Amino acid sequence: MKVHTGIAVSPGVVTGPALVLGSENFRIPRKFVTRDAVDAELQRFHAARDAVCHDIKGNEQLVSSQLGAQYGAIFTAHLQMAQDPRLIREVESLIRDQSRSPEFAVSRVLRGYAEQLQKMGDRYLSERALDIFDLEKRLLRQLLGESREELKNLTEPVIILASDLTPGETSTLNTKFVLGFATEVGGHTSHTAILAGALEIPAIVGLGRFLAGVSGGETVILDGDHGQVIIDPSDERLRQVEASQVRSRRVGERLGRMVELPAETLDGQRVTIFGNIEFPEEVRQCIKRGADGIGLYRTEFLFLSGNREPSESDHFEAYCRVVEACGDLPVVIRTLDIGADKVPQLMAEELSVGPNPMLGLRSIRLSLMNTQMFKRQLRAILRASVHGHVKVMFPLVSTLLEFRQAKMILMDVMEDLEDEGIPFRRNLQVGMMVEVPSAVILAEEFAREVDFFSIGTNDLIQYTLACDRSNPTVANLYRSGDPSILRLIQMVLRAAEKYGKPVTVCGQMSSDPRFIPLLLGMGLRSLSATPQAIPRLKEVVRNLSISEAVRISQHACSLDLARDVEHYLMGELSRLCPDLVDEAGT
Amino acid sequence: MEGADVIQRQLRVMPEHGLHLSPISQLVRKAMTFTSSVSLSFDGRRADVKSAFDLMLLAAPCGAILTLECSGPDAIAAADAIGELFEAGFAIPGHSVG
Repeated sequence: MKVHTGIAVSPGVVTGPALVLGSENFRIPRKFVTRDAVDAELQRFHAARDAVCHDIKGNEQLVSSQLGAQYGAIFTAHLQMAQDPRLIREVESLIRDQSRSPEFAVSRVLRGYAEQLQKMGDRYLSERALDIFDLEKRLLRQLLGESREELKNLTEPVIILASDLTPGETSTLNTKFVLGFATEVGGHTSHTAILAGALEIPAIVGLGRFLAGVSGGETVILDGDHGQVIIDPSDERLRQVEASQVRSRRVGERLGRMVELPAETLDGQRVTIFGNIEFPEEVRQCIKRGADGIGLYRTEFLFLSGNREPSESDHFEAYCRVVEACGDLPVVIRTLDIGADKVPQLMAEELSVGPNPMLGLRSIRLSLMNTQMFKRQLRAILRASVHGHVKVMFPLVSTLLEFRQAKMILMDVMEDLEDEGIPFRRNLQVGMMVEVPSAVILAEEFAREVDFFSIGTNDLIQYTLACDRSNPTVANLYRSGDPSILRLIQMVLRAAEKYGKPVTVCGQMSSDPRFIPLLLGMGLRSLSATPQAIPRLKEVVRNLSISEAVRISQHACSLDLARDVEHYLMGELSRLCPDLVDEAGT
Repeated sequence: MEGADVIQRQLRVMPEHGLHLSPISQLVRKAMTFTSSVSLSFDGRRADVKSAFDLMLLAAPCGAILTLECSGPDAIAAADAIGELFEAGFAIPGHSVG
């Protein structure tokens, strides 16, 4: 048994026979052509190039229609390379002026580009060298009349182990037979990795040299969750994987049926389960899994991906896509929560992070400093509010003054819109994230002024226990089950109840099935979770009664160590929903 | 070129990965729609904007100031169109791959 570890780029665990694809070493038969053959050779080059362009267009259409236009764009770029005037000029010149063969010329010119890109020491550009090799292979295959037949004539399921798969090859993989793939080269942002994720087959890249010891036909476990390729696994390991696959299939089928069923406890209490999203495209994943709306729409991507400050219409278009996809279901838009770990290039200058970014200028603090930017976002949110059921919430509020200032700016924007005759919903609900201990301590005061609370457990835990979970030396302090966190959540729920304001919990805690009985027992009736977690949460809710949840939460709150709380909750979950615990592998 | 315009402009590279595949792809597509020659210069190197390889090898990082030069009958329109791509930060609605 041999275990190789690489970069996991697409999740899932599969077992099957290995199909090994070595590096394709095209043997270039001749470097020179005779003088009088130059015209014919030029024609051969152009014919090969035309055929390649035709193939790329085919890939582009296939991928665009199956995976979406953003993936097809990869091939639009490849097509531009195949039609590149510099490439054509340089190849022609080698053939015409130096009597080189088209094979040699193509390889020489393209490898020259790839080499220069790799030399630049820029990870992003050096991965683009793979796109150039893809083009080289395509052209050489046409010129030499060779192709990777292995991939075309599959008749049974295999796991592909390759030195590299080009994006073109990846896009045409027959997912009926290709269970997954692992490659020696590649990184997170390589196009092959991106396509694997879109095809939803397990994949691992960047394994380094490992093919020498594999001849093909060996049994392989490809663990796309942990980035491991296990060659000739022990019988015990195989049995473990098979058992867990059977279980996860069974659980998967049952969870699939959850979509249609309401999130209702055994004693008839309806619980609202929202989805957390970052990109407009993710709405579909939430709706598909039966979400009651969007409980947390993070808007940072507009700032992080566009590389310039988004305009009001950028905001507006993105919000409308989400709001319209949700129909009558509510969408809670959180204003910019940037700074600390996520600093967009465009703000890097003005946003001098300081020695302690988590305690620095971030989130609502940044918005209040930069009111023009804040107003642009609020205008777009208000304009989108007439297209559906929109709510707005401010992140990381730590004082009442901050909330009042943010709300005042919102009122200003409303007035502006009114003056301009632009429609918006005046009664739009305005809430806040509860993520800072000060906001919990003053929860009653806040509850009088907000329309709703959303408890962001990730930051709340980090600020309460004063630990950065990305720092391995203190990460053990970061525990959702810490009694202090449970107490803080209770304080918020009590304050909100007193003033009749709804509370949602978002953050990782509410995506973790173990905490659902506890949270419901404390009185929470609304959760917002990652789309993938929604069916599991529903299952827990449907196997639980409120009276039982109350009993569980009372016992959990009587324990004084995070470890004991989490252990107890795990035990209760395994009693309520044994499959979910097995699946978690604990 | 008689009667042809030559337009020069300074542009700043905004995308955080510099001029990577997606901006390059957009630039080539845009430049191809004009008959004028369109070039970008940076750090003593000059790239034909109609050539993806030229642009890749220009290796213009985020923050770089490039000199755009358009010459030909539709130079003004070409310079405007290329300038717009830079000003918009090469944003594509939604998020881009590449």
